[in-house]
Amino acid sequence: MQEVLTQETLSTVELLAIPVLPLIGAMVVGLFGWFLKERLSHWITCTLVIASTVLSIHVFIQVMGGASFHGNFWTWIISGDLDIPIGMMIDRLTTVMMMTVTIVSACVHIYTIGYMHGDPGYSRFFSYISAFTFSMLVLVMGNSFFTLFFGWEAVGLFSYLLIGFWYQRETATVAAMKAFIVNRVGDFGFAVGILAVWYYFGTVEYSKVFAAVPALVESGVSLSFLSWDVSAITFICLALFVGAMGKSGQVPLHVWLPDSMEGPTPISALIHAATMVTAGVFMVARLSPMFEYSEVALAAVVLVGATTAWMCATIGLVQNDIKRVIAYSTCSQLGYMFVACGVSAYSAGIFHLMTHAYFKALLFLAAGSVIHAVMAEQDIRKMGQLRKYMPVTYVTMFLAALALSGIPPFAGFFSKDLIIEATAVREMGWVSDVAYYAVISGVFMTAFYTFRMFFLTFHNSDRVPAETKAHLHESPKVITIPLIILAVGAVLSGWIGVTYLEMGELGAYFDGSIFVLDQHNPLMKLQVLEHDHGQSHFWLENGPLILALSGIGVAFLMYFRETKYPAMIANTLPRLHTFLLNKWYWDELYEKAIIRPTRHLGTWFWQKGDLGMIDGKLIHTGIVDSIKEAAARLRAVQTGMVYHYAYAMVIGVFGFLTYLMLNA
Amino acid sequence: MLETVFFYLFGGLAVLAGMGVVLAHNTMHSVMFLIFCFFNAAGLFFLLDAEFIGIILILIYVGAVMVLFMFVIMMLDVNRAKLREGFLQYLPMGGIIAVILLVELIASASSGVFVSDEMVQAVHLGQEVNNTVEIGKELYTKYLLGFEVAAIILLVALVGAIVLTLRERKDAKYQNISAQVNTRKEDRLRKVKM
Amino acid sequence: MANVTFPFPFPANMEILLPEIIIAVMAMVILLFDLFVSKEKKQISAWLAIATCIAAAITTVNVTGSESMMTFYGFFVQDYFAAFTKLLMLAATVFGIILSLDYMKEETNIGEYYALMLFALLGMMLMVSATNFITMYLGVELMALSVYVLVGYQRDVLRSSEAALKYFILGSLSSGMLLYGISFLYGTTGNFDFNLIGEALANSGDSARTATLVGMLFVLAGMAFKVSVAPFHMWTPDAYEGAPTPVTAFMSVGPKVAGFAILMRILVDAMPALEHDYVTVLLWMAVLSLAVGNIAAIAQRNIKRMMAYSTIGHVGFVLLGLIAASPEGYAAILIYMTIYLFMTMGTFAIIILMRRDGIQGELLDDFAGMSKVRPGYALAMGLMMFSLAGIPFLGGFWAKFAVIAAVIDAGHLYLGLAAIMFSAIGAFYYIRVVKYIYFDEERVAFNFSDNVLMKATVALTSIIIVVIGVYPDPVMDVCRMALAGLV
Repeated sequence: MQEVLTQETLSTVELLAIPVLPLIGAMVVGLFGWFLKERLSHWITCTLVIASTVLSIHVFIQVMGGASFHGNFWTWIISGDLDIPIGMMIDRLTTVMMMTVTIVSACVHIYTIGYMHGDPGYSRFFSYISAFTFSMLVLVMGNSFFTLFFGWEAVGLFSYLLIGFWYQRETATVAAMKAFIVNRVGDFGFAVGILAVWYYFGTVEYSKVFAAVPALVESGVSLSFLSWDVSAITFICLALFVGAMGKSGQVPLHVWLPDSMEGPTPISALIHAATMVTAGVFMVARLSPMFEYSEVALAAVVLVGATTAWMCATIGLVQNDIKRVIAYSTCSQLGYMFVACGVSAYSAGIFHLMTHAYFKALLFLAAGSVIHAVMAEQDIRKMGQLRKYMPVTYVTMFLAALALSGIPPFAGFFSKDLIIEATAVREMGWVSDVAYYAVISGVFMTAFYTFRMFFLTFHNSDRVPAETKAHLHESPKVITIPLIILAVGAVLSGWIGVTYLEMGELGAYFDGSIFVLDQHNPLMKLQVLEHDHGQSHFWLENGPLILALSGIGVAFLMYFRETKYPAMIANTLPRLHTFLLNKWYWDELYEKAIIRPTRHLGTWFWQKGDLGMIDGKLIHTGIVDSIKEAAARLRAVQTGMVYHYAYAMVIGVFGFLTYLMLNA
Repeated sequence: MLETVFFYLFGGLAVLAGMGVVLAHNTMHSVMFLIFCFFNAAGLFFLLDAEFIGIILILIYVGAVMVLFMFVIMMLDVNRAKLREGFLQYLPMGGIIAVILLVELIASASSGVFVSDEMVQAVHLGQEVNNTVEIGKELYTKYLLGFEVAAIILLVALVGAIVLTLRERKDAKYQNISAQVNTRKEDRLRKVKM
Repeated sequence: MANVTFPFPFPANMEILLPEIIIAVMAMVILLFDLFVSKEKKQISAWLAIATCIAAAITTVNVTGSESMMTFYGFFVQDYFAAFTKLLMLAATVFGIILSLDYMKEETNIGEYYALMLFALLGMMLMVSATNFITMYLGVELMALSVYVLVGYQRDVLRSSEAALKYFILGSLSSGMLLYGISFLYGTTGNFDFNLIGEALANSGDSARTATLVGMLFVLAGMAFKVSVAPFHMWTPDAYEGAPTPVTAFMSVGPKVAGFAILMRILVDAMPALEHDYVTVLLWMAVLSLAVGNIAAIAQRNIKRMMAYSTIGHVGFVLLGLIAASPEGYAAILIYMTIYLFMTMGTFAIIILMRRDGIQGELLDDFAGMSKVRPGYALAMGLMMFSLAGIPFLGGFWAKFAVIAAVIDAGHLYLGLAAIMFSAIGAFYYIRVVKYIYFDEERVAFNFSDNVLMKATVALTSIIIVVIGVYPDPVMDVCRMALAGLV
């Protein structure tokens, strides 16, 4: 069944090939990795992913020229009223995501060749990341909530598998399980949201749902939940947003993301920085026609995003694990993206998503390069002066750090600046005020912790242990080349985004794929302000940059050379320092409030239910034993004597006949 | 009237003979009862004007099959007493079932079309109708397929009986006559140069 | 001599009987051929038999038209339904012969063996094309007689002869019941023809009801014996265990297909008026079969006996299709039989491969640790067992799904639930075999024969059940189409 609703010049085969090529690679390498060995494994997967990247870019260019695609390919499930087609919705929002995903994925694929060389799970790793790429592409390219859900769960699965890739390490398996379980909490909300969509709209296709949203809002359908009356659209959006919180590591479901750094570094770059964790942001933007109609949901998005942005930044200030610093930074930056979506500046959110993907992936890969060099040491206190040994890594990481801090003309500046300005002008009462102060102070902290990490790693004093030193060297080309490619993205993507794609402009690039109500649109207000020269907007326009520069400055003072300041500050505010070092005690809180009671409950069920009933009287000695006894009896009936057999036949006939006679 | 009397006579004797087959202590007596049963069945066929089938029944079943049967039984040393072990054990239950079944079957056989007044009354055909010819006509025309299949069944029975009984025993010595006859002197004689 | 006029014209449409004629003639040719070839060349009989089956299959396809055709004055019918079931039986026979190639090599008189297989096939084919009780009964007897002999073929093996004798005696009893039932139906309706009986029963009043019920019950009981429905199943384990394994494979598919096909014809054509009554009887038979088959199998240590009880259980499932008494139900039976054919043949092929010098390889223990030595066969056996247990997505799942869905659609929800429950119980003994294969240490040496055809059979059946399991639609569509001749 192929039902094409709109199609201008986009080739169906090409569109299908984009997700399918990585899938083929994943299947071939996954099934025959034992046979293909390292060389063929990476050749196959890298070639297919790069092909997919090229196709994505081709589609991106076509879509820029005005093409779009929206149609169903075949039917997945028909069950009663439920009709779930599989189809694609290709528009500008999708293509930006597709391009980002495939480019980062291709870089990570190449990077992995060097990084994972010699690992016993080499082919398995390639299979997983290719399969992940497929899932992520399905997630972004799908045209219904079910393809979204499929991709959502599939990326979750591969995230789990990859965090626990080194399954021999207990910490890795624990982290993988933590990620999976925390995501289940989010996915529960997500599933409820999708079911609610189906319940209220009777369809799961985006276009049909979006078309029906205004009518639903008009009709004022509401449902009461714990004596709290919420409108249906608010309920749906909030439920879906819970899913986004889980996937995108937002407070209070952020605890898994830093722990996920147990996985190999390419994974941290691909999944836990550039692509999967941004799925929540993508979803909110994709569903903008729904979120726009719910003030409550928007406010929730802003609050959660702002809280995360600020809180994770504070934690990032004091962490010592190089990957954890970047991980908390990721949480924080995702918070920025949500703030952007919440204030209805969806395009700014997606813009930041794209730039962030490049520079954060670059940061991670560069960090991976460092870790590779210092023999898997991740503690920045045991590094220093590495710039001498690894110039390429040093330079690329510097560019990424500048981009993350928001220094012009690097990518982060454009997108982050846009978010902050949008937050400033959007009027949502105290919510937007809080959000504004959170994100603007976050800028300072971002710059500070980024350069703290950077200086401690590459400058400061040389604290590398002697035995590692002999090993120090620049990473091989397969590692540095992806760094350079991504560095180009980190430097240029913001400028390109503003200049060519006009992402910051009102209703320019994403018109038609993102929907914003006029009264909400902060970009519209920004435009009004820009033309209004009477007023001075100095702070609004330059505040973030000043804060970022001062953050870098403070970091420079404290960490460029070995100084006493860090220890001094830690000693003067010991409580605050410990509080931040322990990540606001979220893990301890969950341990006490949720994990322990749950474990007690589980133990109780195990003892009483499993051991007591299933292994005990009810199932084991009850049903199982009685079936065994019946079997033994039936076996005893089978005597081997012909007359017994004949007797059974006669009794059978007799029984049936009597039964019939009595009922006749 | 006379026909009805004979019907019940033959029928009743057939049933009694049947019971005799099962209940007789001596195997030979059982066979004799069976032969008697066949005779009565043949009598019933005669009453139906099916003389040919009746005669065939006597000729083939009594004359050939049962005689063979008797030979077999005489060659086997059947221990009747042992076979009848446990007879009493099954009698109560089996007996009850048998009686109820009998009642049910009689009840059903004496109902419906079998006793209704509209039942088609059989009419005796005249002398000129040749029983054998009529059977032949039906058998070789309408029922030809069945007739052919029956022939194949007989063939299968024949083959089956031979396959299951006639086989070379590996542990028995026997003459291979054709090999003996066809043997040549080269097979047996070896010239030895002295 | 009386001048006999020929009252009947020469039978029309004789060509639809061509497949049967080919088989009958070739069976006799093989009988004769076997006499004149040297011992080393006797295997040629098997190839001749396979060629015969293929030729018959081709002619079956060719002579079948979309209209159902009759010949021999309405005694024999050829339609899609008959053609489809005949193809199934031909496939079963070909598989049976392939499985016999190595197994029977050492036996004497193998020419007769293959001839008897063809005769059994002929009987079954006559059964499914029967339009009246005469053709049907003759077909049943031809099939049964040939199978009795086949079961007892290894006369030197005591259990083989014993099994054959038991099967023969009980089979005669069941034939008696069948004839008794037929005579009652003839008495009440005055006809042998299914359609005419159906009309007569529809028009008959209440007065003939008890007699009709007796007739119906005895016919059902007689046929139930042939397809090993409980409580007429007692011969099955003994006969399955005693028979040479290829014969076991053959008789667990061929006669079942024929039996169910003709039961469908009888119920649809002759007994629509008695639907309520036969459904009650079949319902209890189904429950008994499901219970006996699935529970008693648990206690078995010999895999052939286990497969016998497995057959009884599966027959219970197939009965659900008859109970549904709807086109969906009958289609489900055909689907079930098709899938069952492949599952059974694959399983028995592996069982036969287990036989080696001096060891029958029929005990469950013999399978222990097979995965370590022969992973391919172990995988195939595992697939078969999972499929027989009805695990999605293997063929067996869809078979069970079809019948259970049909019976629930027909309003027998509790029967459907009971079937699911027994299916769950039955999964135990199938999966236990997998446990032996994969999780136990090997206890005996495995030296499988390298017969290419056997390997091909195992591979083919495994692939088919996987393919059907993943994409069942084509098979289901064909089965629905095959019903065209029936309903």
